[in-house]
Amino acid sequence: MESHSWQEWEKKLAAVTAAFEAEIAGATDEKAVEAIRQRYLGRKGGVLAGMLRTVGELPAAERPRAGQLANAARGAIEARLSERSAQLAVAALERRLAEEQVDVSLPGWPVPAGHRHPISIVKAEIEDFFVSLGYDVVSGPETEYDYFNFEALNIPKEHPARDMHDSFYLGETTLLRTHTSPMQIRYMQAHAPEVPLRVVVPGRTYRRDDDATHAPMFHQVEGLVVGEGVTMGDLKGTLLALARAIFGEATAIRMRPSYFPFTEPSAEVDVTCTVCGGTGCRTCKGTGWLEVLGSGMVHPQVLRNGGYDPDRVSGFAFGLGIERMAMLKYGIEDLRHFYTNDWRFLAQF
Amino acid sequence: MRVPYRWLKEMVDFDWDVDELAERLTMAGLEVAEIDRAIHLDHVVVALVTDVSPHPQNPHLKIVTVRGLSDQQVVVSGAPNVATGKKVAYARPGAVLPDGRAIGVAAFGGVASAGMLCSAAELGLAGRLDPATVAPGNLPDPAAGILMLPDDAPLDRPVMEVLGFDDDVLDLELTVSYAQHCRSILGVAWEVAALTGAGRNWPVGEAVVADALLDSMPGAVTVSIEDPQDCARYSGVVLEDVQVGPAPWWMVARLRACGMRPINNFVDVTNYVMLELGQPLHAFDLDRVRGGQIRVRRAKPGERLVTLDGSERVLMPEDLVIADAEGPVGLAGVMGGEASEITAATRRVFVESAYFRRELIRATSRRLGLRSEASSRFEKGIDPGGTWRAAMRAGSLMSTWGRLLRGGIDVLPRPEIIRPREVVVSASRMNARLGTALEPQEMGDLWRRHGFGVEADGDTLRVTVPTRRPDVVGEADLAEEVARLFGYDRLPATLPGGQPTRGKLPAEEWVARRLRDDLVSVGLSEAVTYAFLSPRDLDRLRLGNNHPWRQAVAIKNPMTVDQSFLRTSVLPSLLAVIGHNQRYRQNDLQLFEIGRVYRSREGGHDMMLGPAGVVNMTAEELLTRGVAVEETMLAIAGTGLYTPRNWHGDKRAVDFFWLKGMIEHIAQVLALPALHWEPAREPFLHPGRAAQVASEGLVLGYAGEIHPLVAEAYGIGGRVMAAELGLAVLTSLAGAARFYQPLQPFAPVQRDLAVILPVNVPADAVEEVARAAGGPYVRGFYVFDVYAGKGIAPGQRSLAFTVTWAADGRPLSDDEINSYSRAIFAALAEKFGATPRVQPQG
Ligand SMILES: [Zn+2]
Repeated sequence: MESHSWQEWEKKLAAVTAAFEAEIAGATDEKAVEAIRQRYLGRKGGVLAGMLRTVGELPAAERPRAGQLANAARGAIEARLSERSAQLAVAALERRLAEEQVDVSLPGWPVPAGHRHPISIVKAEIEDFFVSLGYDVVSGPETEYDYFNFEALNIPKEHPARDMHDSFYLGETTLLRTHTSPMQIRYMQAHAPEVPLRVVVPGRTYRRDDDATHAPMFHQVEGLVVGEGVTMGDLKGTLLALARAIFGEATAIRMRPSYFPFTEPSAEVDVTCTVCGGTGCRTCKGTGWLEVLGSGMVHPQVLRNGGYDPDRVSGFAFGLGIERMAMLKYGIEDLRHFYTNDWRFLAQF
Repeated sequence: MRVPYRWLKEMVDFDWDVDELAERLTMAGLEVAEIDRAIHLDHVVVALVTDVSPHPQNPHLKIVTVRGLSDQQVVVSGAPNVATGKKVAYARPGAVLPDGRAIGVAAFGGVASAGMLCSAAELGLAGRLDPATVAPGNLPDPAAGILMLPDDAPLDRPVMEVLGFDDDVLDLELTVSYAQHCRSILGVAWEVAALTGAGRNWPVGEAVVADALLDSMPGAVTVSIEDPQDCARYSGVVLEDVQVGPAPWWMVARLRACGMRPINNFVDVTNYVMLELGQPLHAFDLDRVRGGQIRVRRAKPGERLVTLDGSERVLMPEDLVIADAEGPVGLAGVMGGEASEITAATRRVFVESAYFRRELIRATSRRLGLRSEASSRFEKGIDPGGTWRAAMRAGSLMSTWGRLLRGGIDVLPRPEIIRPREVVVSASRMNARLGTALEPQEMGDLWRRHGFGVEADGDTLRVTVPTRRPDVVGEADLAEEVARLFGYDRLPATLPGGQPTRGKLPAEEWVARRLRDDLVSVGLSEAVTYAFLSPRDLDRLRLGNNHPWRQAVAIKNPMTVDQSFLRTSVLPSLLAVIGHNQRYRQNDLQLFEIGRVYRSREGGHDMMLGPAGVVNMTAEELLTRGVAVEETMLAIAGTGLYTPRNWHGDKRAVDFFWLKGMIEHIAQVLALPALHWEPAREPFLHPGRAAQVASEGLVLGYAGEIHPLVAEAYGIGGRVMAAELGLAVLTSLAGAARFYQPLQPFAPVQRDLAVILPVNVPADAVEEVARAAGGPYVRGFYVFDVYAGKGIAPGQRSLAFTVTWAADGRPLSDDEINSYSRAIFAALAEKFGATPRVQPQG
């Protein structure tokens, strides 16, 4: 068996290893790697198995050495196969990820998002502010009696103040409420002689008016506090806190004497102009102030009509327009936008 | 009301400039809406035309000689109306006209002209001045000819002064209460005096009654008052041998500054005194007052009177008239009669200064649409103590042009009205109301500045309020005077003390807030609409005559027909919003509104009325019960795409099941009990896509697709889904506290099943049968596929659903699930003839 000399065998194994290395380096996918594995390591017909079979033909003294060499070659091939597989898997993943690249500037899924109406936003802000101060919130009816809307509030028939309350009538003595103030009487009558009363009344009100600054229907919030020792200073402090809650901490208020039949003393309340911050601009007509609400100490006769003794208790009341607040807060110039509900308007809130 | 600064300053010796005055008055409650600034034109003065001669070269020009106090000038003028003996507006060399023209000496056709004669337009007064009211001979057109000035205008005086434009004028916007006592220069002067403490210089004394109360002047006038309630006081003076002509220039200038037109000297004095003192006056031609009798009485039905404006008025018993022996000669406080007006021929004048009942004046002036400076003062309320003083003041001003008869008339059937009011107050309680800490003495001093009498006795203050302050009746009014003079800005800012109270929202408002937040988060936007309804809406909605939505409350005096009812449904409001937006091509719109609807109460509107108009209600009714039944609804309306067209390719239009999904979503959020959906019929809904939604036997409302004819009637293209649910029902059903369910250690088992059954078997019937047949552990049933068409017999459809089972504390075996599934198939087969589309596994 000269042909199977040790030197020849060793040379042959080295050639197999070299051929494997060449093939595996050229393998470009997992399938090729598997074919190479079969070709070199297959139990039947594998190149390395063939080499092992020829070990028996070597001289006995050479055989253990040849066995060791063959096993070492097998181990190296297996390691090289796994390594190549892993390399190819990484390359394949990278290729796929490269193919999956998206244009991140394209729009995302259209997830529907709606909008709150500005009147309801401001209404809730005002309610929350007063709830935090311990006020009850009630809304009261909109279809009202002359008695609650006018008479009991010190506005008898032919009173000049009725001129400013051009009413929608439902019957001889019934109408759509022209302000939320009738709830002052209703709430007092429902609770007298209980004190203290603290209540705000948000709701719809109606007057016969229709232009850029007047609507036939609008929203007010009425406030009423009745108790022992309630002062005009309490009214001022409450409204200052409200103005800061709605328009920001830097807001100041200014009270001016005014007239309402159901309060005495009465005050108009101005807040720092929301546009110029008080330096004077077109919105505030150069004054630095914007008129936002009317207020005053509950008139003694109104307390009596509500079932309270004005010698024992006092109270304050105020009324503000939600639309007015929303117009100032958002810079809306035309009241009618609130009720037209144009999408271009709604979508801004 | 217009207040010329200098006129005011004549009465009070204060130092504020006009801007500070405006600010101080505003802060004292007399809001200054505007300051009409003075116009000054230097070197434009009054001159007298002494000669007019033709121009040697130009026939259109004249050579005019004018004279001032100490000089004479020659001016070339082209004005057609220049005439010798007239006073004119003369711009001396050195003057600069409002249009920027500098006036000097110039030559016209070889004649030197020193300055120019000006028209009203050249003085910048176009639109502000009617030249015809300045002097006879002026045309109303301010550019037509030079401006002739009154004959008594002093030479060399600035023309702007003569015309009344050289003073700053405050425009006051008076509230109802200040309109009583501040509707005159004197009234504002009282305020300024009180605010500044400056000296008063009143034009007349404080005399409140004539020396002797007289109801007649021998040989002149007799006065009778039918009802003292209608006229509590009637004063007057008589002048004889009068000369009617123009009023002095300074008086006309002031009237003009206050926005009034000059008429003649007698009428102008009545207006002047009204502006000065606040008391409206009327001058009668006494020779036209038949029998010399003045009768203050109600009109007889059908009586007629031709008023000063030339129109014939048909009177009613609600009207108060001034009548003579034969009939009405004037509408008391509103307008005089034409027959007795002052004319150039008038020889005897009677000046009326009366106190009429304000409600009557208000009603008559409103009914006839006649509102004047006088009537508006009467209807706001005037000083009953001031009638005699005003009559005297007018008489003395008029005595320049006639003989004022001694004495006068002052009929006072109700003397109590001129008695000063006494109010007793406690200083400590005053402080307690205001939050101040004023000594009784300080408080008294504040009132004294208004001319009130004050007597202090410890804490008790006895205040005497003059009749010119009818607004000060009780303690609260005195408190306001203290606060005003003390300064609202000096009041402390505190919060109410005392027991704490719990702030709370009504239950319905909690639910409404939950709904708003939630619907907005799933893409609906909130609308707020008018609560009105048009009668046309009822027809657009195709409502039958007995439909409950026709039980609408009518408004007696609507502004438009389209707002003549209160809405019985929010739906028409939202349809109108969709219609509006579609006109702007905003077609994809999903909206909701939480708003009220109103229904007539059976038994009419006035059922709660008690005696004297007082309303009788229980405490509960007081807080909620209106004239109509008012109910708050959650209304939803959607149209167009819910998921807009997008490059992912899954756009979604709203349909019935979009709407149903929204309502089911609400039900989850509010933890409502199970909803029941029944097919329903409403005239405004698609007959095959309409449902009534109920839960626990209570109807929540309707949901469906709007009938195409209704959509068309609202000008809407495309399909619209709409629902309306009652907020009160939602609130009553909204889940109470939720309790936690312990988690099971084993995963629930799900199985997809499909059956073929007749199309008319509703899905919820299948669910009911499946749940009943599927054993004790069914936890869920959800339809995930519905199919009809190819492969399915006509009249049949395939329904595929997932059933979920879970047992407490143990896993379920495949055998158990298989047997439950088979039971479901068997039950559906028995009940509906259903056949399995997919065999159960295993
Ligand atoms: Zn501003």
